[in-house]
Amino acid sequence: MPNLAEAKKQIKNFAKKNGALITGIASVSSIDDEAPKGHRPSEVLEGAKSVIVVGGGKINLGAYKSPMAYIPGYISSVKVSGVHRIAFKLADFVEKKFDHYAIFSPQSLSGANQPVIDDQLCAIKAGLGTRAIAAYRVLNETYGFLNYASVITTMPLESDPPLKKPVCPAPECVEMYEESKTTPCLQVCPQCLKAEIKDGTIKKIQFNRMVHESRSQTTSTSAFQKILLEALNETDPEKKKMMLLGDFFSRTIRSMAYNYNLSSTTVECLRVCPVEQRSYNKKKGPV
Amino acid sequence: MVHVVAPAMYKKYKDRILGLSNAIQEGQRGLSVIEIADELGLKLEDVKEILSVAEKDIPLSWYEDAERFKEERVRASFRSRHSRSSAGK
Repeated sequence: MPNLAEAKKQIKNFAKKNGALITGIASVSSIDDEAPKGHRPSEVLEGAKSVIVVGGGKINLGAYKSPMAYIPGYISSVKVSGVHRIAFKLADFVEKKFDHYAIFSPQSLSGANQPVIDDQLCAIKAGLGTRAIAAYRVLNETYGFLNYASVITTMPLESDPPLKKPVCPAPECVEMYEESKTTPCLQVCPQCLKAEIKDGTIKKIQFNRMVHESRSQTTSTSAFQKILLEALNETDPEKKKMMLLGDFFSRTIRSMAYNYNLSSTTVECLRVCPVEQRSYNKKKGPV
Repeated sequence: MVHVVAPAMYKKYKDRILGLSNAIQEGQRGLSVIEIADELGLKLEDVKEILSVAEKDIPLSWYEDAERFKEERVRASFRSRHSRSSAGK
């Protein structure tokens, strides 16, 4: 087995070859310290030492430019799956190559929206970005908003340090906030997001995930349950037929069958982010 | 038989459980279902059920509004892009 520094290099190269744009490593203890009970990597895999976080699946610029409102959510959902596949492969690679246990951490195994572990927290701890106001997601200076997936392993890899300087708010957002007490993302979605910026840094964020979920996963499993419940309570058989065979419910079924809109995010607050816009201009992303 | 929480219990704890969870995140992290159960002295299985229902116990109109919101945002984005490009001509 190669030494740990060499192993880390090989892991990052493997992730890159398989489509990751960035990869970082965090110690399990650093995540355990902040994660809630039941969602700590050490609780998911006994003896876990490191979490390898891969970032990628950047939404195509074309999705932002499409006049069809459904397109970005559908593309985003498929892109999330792509990043999960990278992490799946990476877990196999670590086990076979380095003889350590490794598992891909799935998004959610419970009825509520409670991820097994918080990939965004892992990404922050692995130095891949910092928390942004927009969608409460991790923002990377070069790549903007990416999707993240994590591999928990017993391998004691050297961690990458978290970033010292926050990526959000961008200077133009600070300027805008000083003038008008808002930012491009807050302006777009005041129902989901509230934030306070002081001395150029985020002092407070409030993110309403329930509103966000209805917007980001509009034709998803929750919508399916809601319509089904309403239809079951409907006593008029003709109206029931209209509800279950109509456009919205049909699209909801199709979303679930083809993994559209299941794990996507709404892009409205992301597309106005100056860092996200620059990430495409730099041509360093996949576009 | 699946575990079902009594509607009266759901009504009693829904708001408190949602408030403690990560449904609305405000700086500090929300509690997990294990932590909420400890905090409120409830059974874990009851908290899981209540949170699962509560997160979806929103009006169906939110989903319909979401579609309108996204369509309006896309139109607004196109309007501003076109007005920028016209201004640049």
